[in-house]
Amino acid sequence: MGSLKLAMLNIKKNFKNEKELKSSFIISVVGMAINNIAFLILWYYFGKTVGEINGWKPLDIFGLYGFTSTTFGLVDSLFNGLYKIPEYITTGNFDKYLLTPKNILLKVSTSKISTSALGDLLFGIVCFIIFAFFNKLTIIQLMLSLLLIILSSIIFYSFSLICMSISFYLMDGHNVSTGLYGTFVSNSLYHGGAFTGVLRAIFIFIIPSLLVGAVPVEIVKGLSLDGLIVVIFLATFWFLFSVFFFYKSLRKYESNNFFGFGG
Amino acid sequence: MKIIEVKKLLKEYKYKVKDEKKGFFYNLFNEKEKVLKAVNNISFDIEEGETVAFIGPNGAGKSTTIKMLTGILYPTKGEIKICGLTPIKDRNELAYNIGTVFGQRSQLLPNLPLTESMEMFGTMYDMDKNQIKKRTKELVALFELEEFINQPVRKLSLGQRMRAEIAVSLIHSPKIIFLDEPTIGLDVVSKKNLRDLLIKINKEEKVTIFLTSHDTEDIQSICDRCIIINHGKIIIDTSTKQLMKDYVKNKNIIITPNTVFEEFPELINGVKYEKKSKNQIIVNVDTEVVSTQKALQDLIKKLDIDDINIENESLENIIRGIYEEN
Repeated sequence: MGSLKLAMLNIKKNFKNEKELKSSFIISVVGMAINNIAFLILWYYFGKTVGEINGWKPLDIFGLYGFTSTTFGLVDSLFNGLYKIPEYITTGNFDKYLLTPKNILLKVSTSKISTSALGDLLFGIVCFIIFAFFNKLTIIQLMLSLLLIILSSIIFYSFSLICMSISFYLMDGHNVSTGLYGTFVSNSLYHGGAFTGVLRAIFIFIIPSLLVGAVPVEIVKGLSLDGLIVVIFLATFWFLFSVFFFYKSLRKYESNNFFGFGG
Repeated sequence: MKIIEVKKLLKEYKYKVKDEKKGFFYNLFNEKEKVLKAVNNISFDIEEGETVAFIGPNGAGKSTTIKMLTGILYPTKGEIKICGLTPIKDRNELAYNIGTVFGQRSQLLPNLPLTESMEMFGTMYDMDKNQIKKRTKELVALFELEEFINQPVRKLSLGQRMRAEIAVSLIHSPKIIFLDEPTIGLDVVSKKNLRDLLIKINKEEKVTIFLTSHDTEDIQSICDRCIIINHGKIIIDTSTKQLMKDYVKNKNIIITPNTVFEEFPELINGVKYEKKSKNQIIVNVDTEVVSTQKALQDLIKKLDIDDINIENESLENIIRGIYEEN
């Protein structure tokens, strides 16, 4: 309980800390939202030109971006410390998290926030509203969407944690971690209709990119209970495995002596 | 009461070595593993309230030891008890009993005033709002933080920031504070202020101080005891006073002469000139060869002296001598 209270305070203080630099705060939030809009327009016109692909209509792209950006925005803004793990390891800044009396994982995850990710979050919400409005989603579908956003966020957090924890094992772990994370994120943004057969299985069960965007869209549209159960099961599995992997990897930590500030 | 107990502590690092004579593919699959003993079977105890300097040249094993004592690194072998706790097993509980300051790293929120960091750290140690407020007030008074308490941390000078770092590390009133190079990069005035503060917290709050530093002034002014480590082994563990006594082999005699010498007179065995100038002559006396008294008598006979001053060899020279011997 104390760890959760501290995590909340950590997020609050970090938000306050970032907000102090007002101009860069606003620029990063607005900049990220503009960047995403450009990407969305591109996909929308692609969908409109090509038409329906494997049951995916052009408007579903809004759903895909709604889920992916909201999930990404939530995890990346609130738990941005997660993505700093490779840097903390290289610089030896991870030391200070081992010296705190509270849950290390929560403390590290909430050690930084990303203001640009707030732009993603905002953009994701807008996309989702458009998707919900034109698809005339029912209350049940909206509730289901909310639950799927939570489950997708858990999967996003868990897979990111696994990617970043690899850095404990490798000297140049930063490149491997960010490479794997990049594969995960970029595939979550591709048109859902493009993934079929083996490719679909890979990006659901091995690299869970589709679980944070495409699969939730399909579950909401088809009100699929089976799909929901699979996502609940996979979210639980990825979360438990990622926490186990993090603590197992932590034993490999060899503190370095580099100069640094904050973190 | 023993607050730190270390028995046969060992830390090994493994690293890969390539065979320079062989090619890339051979080395890709046949790298040999070498073992480096960063800390090699060291044992020591520290009593509550002691001020201990843990010193040694770069790469001697100081930081590795401090990191094992604080639960950051797993020891390869050996036993550590801090306040009766095993650091790596009881990491959370240990954190309530210790404070840490690493000179090169900040634990403060850079864009916010110090009070915000104090609040965050207080919450981390389960203190309620009133306790945090009361303790912050005490620390502000003790460390004289009033003048910059409302400034963003990034705008503080290095000296002010180090005071702030130590104050924050004491928010939960720990029994021990571990300091790794606390005066690194500070100017002479800031160094003196920081040393005075550390002495004050040791006297007033009975905090045990465990410090590593390359600055001999830190050691001389703060620490009652010196543990010197080199190549991972403890080579000396004694009181700072005793260290000075046992290892002072040379004295410097500083003379202001009345006569301006063109040719300086020859001195007796064991006494040599360190500096020859019109206004000042410094001679070094090796007390193992000749007594200071005899050296003085000889100097008074040979030089027309206006003023004279005798100084012990500096702790820096003593420690350098010890490092070189080992």
